[in-house]
Amino acid sequence: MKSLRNKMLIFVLVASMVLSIFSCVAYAEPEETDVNLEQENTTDVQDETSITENEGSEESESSEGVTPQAFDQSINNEFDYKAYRNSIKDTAMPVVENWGEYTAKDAVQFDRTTGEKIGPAIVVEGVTSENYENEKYDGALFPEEGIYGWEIDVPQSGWYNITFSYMPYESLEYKDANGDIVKLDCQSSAVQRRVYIDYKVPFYEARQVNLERVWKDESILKLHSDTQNEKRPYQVGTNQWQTVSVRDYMGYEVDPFKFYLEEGSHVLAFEAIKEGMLVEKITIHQIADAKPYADVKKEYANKGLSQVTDALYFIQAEGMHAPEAYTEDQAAIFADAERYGLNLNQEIEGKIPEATYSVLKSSPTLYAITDRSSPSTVPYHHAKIRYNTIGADKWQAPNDWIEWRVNVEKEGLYVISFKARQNTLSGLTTTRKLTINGEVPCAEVENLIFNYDNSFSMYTPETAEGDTILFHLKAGENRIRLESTLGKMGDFLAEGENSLTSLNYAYRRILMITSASPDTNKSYMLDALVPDALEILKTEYYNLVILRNEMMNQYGDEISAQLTSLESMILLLERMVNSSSISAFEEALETKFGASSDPSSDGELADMIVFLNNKLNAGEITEADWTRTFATLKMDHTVIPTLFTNLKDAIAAMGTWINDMSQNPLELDYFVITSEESANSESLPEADAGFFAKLLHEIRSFIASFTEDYDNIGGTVAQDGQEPVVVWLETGAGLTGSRDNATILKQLIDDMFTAKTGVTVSTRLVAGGSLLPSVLSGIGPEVCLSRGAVDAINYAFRGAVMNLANDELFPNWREVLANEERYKHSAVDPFTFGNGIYAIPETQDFFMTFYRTDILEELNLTPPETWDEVYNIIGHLQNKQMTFAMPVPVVGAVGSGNNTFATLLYQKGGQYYTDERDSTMLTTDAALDAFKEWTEFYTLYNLPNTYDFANRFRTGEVPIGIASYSQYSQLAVFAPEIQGLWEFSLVPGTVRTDENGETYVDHSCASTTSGCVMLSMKSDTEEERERISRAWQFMTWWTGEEAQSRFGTEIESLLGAAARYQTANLQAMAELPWDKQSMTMIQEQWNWCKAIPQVPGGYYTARNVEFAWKEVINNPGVDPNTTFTEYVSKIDREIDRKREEFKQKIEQMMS
Amino acid sequence: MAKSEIKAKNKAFFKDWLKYQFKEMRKNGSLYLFMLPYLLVFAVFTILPVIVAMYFSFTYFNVLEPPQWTGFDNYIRLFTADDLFMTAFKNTLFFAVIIGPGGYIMSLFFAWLINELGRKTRAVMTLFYYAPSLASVYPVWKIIFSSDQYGLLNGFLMNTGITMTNIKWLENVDYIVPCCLIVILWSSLGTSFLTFVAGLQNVDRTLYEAGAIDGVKNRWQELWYITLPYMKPQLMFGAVMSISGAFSVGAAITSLVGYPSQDYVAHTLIHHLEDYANQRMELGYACAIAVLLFLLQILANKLIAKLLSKVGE
Repeated sequence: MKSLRNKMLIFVLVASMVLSIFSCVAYAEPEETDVNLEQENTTDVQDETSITENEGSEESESSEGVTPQAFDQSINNEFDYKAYRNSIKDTAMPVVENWGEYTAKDAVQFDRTTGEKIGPAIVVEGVTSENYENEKYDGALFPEEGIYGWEIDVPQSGWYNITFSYMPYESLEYKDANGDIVKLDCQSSAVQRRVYIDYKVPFYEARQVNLERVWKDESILKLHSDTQNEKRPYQVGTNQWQTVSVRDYMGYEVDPFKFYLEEGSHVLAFEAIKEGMLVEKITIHQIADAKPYADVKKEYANKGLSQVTDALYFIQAEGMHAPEAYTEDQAAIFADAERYGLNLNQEIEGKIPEATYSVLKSSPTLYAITDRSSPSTVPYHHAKIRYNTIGADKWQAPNDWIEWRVNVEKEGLYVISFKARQNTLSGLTTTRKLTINGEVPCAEVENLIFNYDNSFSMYTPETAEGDTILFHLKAGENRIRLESTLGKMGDFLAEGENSLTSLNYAYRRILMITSASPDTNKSYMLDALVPDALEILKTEYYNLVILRNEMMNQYGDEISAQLTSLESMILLLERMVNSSSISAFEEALETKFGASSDPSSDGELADMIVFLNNKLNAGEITEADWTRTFATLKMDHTVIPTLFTNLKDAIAAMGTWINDMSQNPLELDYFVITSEESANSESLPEADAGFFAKLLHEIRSFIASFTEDYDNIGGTVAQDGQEPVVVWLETGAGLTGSRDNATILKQLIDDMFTAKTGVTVSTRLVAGGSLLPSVLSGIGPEVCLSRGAVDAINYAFRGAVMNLANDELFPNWREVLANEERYKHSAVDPFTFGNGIYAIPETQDFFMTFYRTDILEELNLTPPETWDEVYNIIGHLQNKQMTFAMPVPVVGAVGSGNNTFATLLYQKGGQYYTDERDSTMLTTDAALDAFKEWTEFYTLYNLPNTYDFANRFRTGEVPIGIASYSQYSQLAVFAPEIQGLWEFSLVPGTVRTDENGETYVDHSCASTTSGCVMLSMKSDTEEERERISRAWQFMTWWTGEEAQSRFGTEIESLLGAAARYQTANLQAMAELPWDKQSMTMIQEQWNWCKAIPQVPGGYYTARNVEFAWKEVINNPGVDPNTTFTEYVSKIDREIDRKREEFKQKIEQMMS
Repeated sequence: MAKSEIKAKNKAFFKDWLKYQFKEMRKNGSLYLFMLPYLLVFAVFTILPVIVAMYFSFTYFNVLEPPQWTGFDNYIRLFTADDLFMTAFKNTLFFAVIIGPGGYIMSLFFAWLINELGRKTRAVMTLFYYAPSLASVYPVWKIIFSSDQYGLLNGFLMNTGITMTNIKWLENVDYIVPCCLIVILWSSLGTSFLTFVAGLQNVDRTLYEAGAIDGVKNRWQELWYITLPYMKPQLMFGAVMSISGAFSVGAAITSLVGYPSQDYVAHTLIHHLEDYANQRMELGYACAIAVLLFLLQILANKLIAKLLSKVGE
């Protein structure tokens, strides 16, 4: 830390010296202006320059500046916010009047490599935001690429907050310099920026700052006219001006970040990681602490505010419902118009109740959910779906908020009571920050605490003394917002995270000596080779013991159930402590404090440590003494190798633990805005239902379960006697096979398909494996979704699915299946046999290379372009006891390793089958080479053949590996602590020579596709043709751009980013929320994709290729060539047999 | 006697017999009524499928198109052209010979063992022994036999220094079958175990006293001459269950070593059948395998019945 601090100081010194010399030159240089710039903007820049000069002359003697330099991309995960705070001794937090606002006009774009200003940012003028009709702002466009920021001039050194006023636009139109209208659309993820101060990322956490997008329900919750189930409205992004201070996206640091700015000029720049936004201004200021309620109360009195007595508003937290959604009893209280609109503003009351409140949220995953556990949840129905609550496990990420915009009639003081429940984390509390109209009204509601409970209860914010807190609401619209915050837990987790980083480092240090599975009988002399690692283990043992102790003190003993992972880490580290040094440590304690005061006479090491720490905190022992005492404790370097694999598991478990503990779920049913009197009176409904009400509820739902058709998703609206298209989804089939997904699908069909075309669709979610028997018995569907290529072609051989490449029945099939803009060849090929195509692709998956940028940098390696480079890297990695990961066949899922082989095969120019598809081509040189290379990864390079990619990638043991590109979203969610430290690129390639003699790198890779099939139907009569064309219409719509991208967005909002949809539709793919760089990589790899074709008996290929591979890697010394040839002959025999079986059919298909 | 005479006599006899049977049935009508639901279900879901399967085994049937009659083609191919069938057949016999008697003897032994315990302890122990066959326990064993060094067994062996590297228990051809046997035997205390427990409880206590007077010298004699003969119906039932279970092992192996297992070392007839039915969609052929398996089980049951009749002699 010390060296870093020195470095920083030297940097600042040198920078300021250099700057003072060059600053005049820098300002004198003419601005480079972009061709597209508006005239106006150019003048703005001149203005800016003059302003800066003025300010410079006013506030500082010499005008200073920062020399433009390349933006330093390196990120040091050791130098975190805590270290940053400690590295600077100055603690001044100056409040400087009339300084610190930098508006859109002054924003400039910087060049990444030179750091020079390119020119001013484009300013879009007068942008209104949706719910602020009167407020218009100018915003500087910070697009999804590039570095934008300001040159700022700080009048006084000190710590400052940085606050953005921005709009994460959903879609935006503006006129450019030529008067042309430019239309911008954004994807649906949060805006992410990297913060640079003077061309450097100031500390680790600043590498990524999230600025939330604002979401809302598209409409109120309505009932489905047929089934009487409630429909979930879509989540739509909105254009909203927001104010957010730069803060920790992990949420450990609860308060917004403070940045240290020295007096003088600085460059404050933000690099785009993801998504674009408009920035109205940034404010550099001090965020004041919220006042205690006692002070606020006095202010109320001064302002003459008094309680509103006759007000009673019920606000359904999930949003407005249609009045029919309520039961009669509940309607009397909650939805009855009289009561409902009792105190509403008259103008608003004239409209429908919709206008009374609206719900905004920071994430589309915060949608209304169903709670049927109790009849007292509002609205309630014993059998039908009512989306009656919001939050729960969807509302657990730090910083996620829900905001209600509520209209109240009178200005005054109100009580707000939440009906809430936290029933997931037993023994833990959940924390929320309450803000009203953008401000925390008093310190007490900064951390509102909700306790663990199985049923809902009413929470009314109170002071520590038990006074009900009153909130000031103005007449008209008020913004009431609850924001997820970790509260005290954030500190604990930050400490845990710090320990984890250190332990990971120590693990890697020891790993380099001992390898992942050390020989337990060997002495590694760890004490001599890596004394620092042992020291870290000891210190972290100390820290974790203290952490556990503090957590127990904070939350009580009930929390121990949540601490098992921490506990086992402590126990493990304790086992690594040298047992004889424990008594030495005990003695040291006794001599220091005397035997009588020692609570640790029973010899518990953890107790002794807590004891020592208490003494240190109480100031009874100096730091030097503490160091001396603690030094008597030693780690046992001979035990460490034997416990090494346990250490790795414990580290992984602790990582998961921190992740789990940072979840902060809360479920809300409704809240009440009322007077203190009625909040305490009995007129409010009970939060929890009585025993008999619950019993009745259970009985009624049980009886209803016999009559409700749960399979028929969303019901069907019959339309003038027309038969609906029957669509099946098998559960467990790909991404689409779950009830949630089926519900989304059905809703999309209703809104986007049936509404437009008038074709009705009946969607059924059926058990896996039902298709075959149903086709056999003639009750099958017309369309079945999410079928693999093997299925589709197997059905085709037996005449069970339609050939879609049929000009007569499907005149526009070429637009769908032979459309380069819609699908890559590799998506359609697996469904092709002969002249027929038997399915329309839905999803496509393929490999990418994932690598840890931090570790590769540490080892001085670059991501590999070719396999030769991979071999080179493997050597380097294995020197450090790390390794490279190749996808391996999964035990129990035969054929899963096939793509790895296919990738190598295609890069060598080989192919699976002959062009006639009547036998394999796996005995060619290319195939034998590919097979040999594949096995050598394991026999020669000793790569792991069973591993958990995500986990090992996270610990850094496998800093580079090939995996399905779906791992991207998995990692983004599963391992937030390494966000920004990894990237992906193309799979390694093979250098080949094309026909012109030029060399190129072939990155070919195999892909897996799923698609939807149309089951065979007769097409003799006009009516039958009609039916086929309806089914075709549905299939083309469903696989089309609009439906696929919408489905992808919806499913991601439902299940979170880990469920990103891997659509095969190219246009739809472009709509999904990938950041630009990743998208480019995916597109490039996609171009290289090749399909694995299908033949009759093709299942035998995957199986035997894998058998051959296992035979070779399990029996060292076996010749890969002969083994492979032997297995290939088996495949050929099966193909011959199957061709014989389907002789006629195949001839027909090929002709 | 002339042929026609015999025929007439037989006819008359048959008529009488029918009459008699019918009368008896009417007399016990209520009993048949009680049996009816079961008989119906049994006929529809057991007898009918067997007959249908037998029919399909003589056809070519690819599931999606109507079956075509092919006579004995499937059977001929089974024995002459399918090398995998022989592997599967051999494996099935091997598993059956070990698991059938093994599981049977284990059930009997453990039932006998806990029979002596007090009422409550017995109930608890019964649950303990029976539980493995209730739940799907294979994931637990997969952790034990996990191939990497973090697998429980590998970890144990490497920690104690018995082996130096991890053994791929469920992938290496040499270990697959033993691993499967251990797991299946462990979970084989199923229905037969329960019937044995019940059977042992039903033995008339007075018989032991009588036996003691008649000169039974030890527990083994008591078991052989009194207990086992007395519970022959349960023994028979247990045997039927064990045999049919032993011949149809498949699910356990699939969940342990995947399907198909490396080089088909643990490929049983059930796997072979599923392979043809689900993967290759040759249902006619799969039915032929099923019919063979069915015959095999009947044969084995006959054999067991013979053996069991020797109990107590």
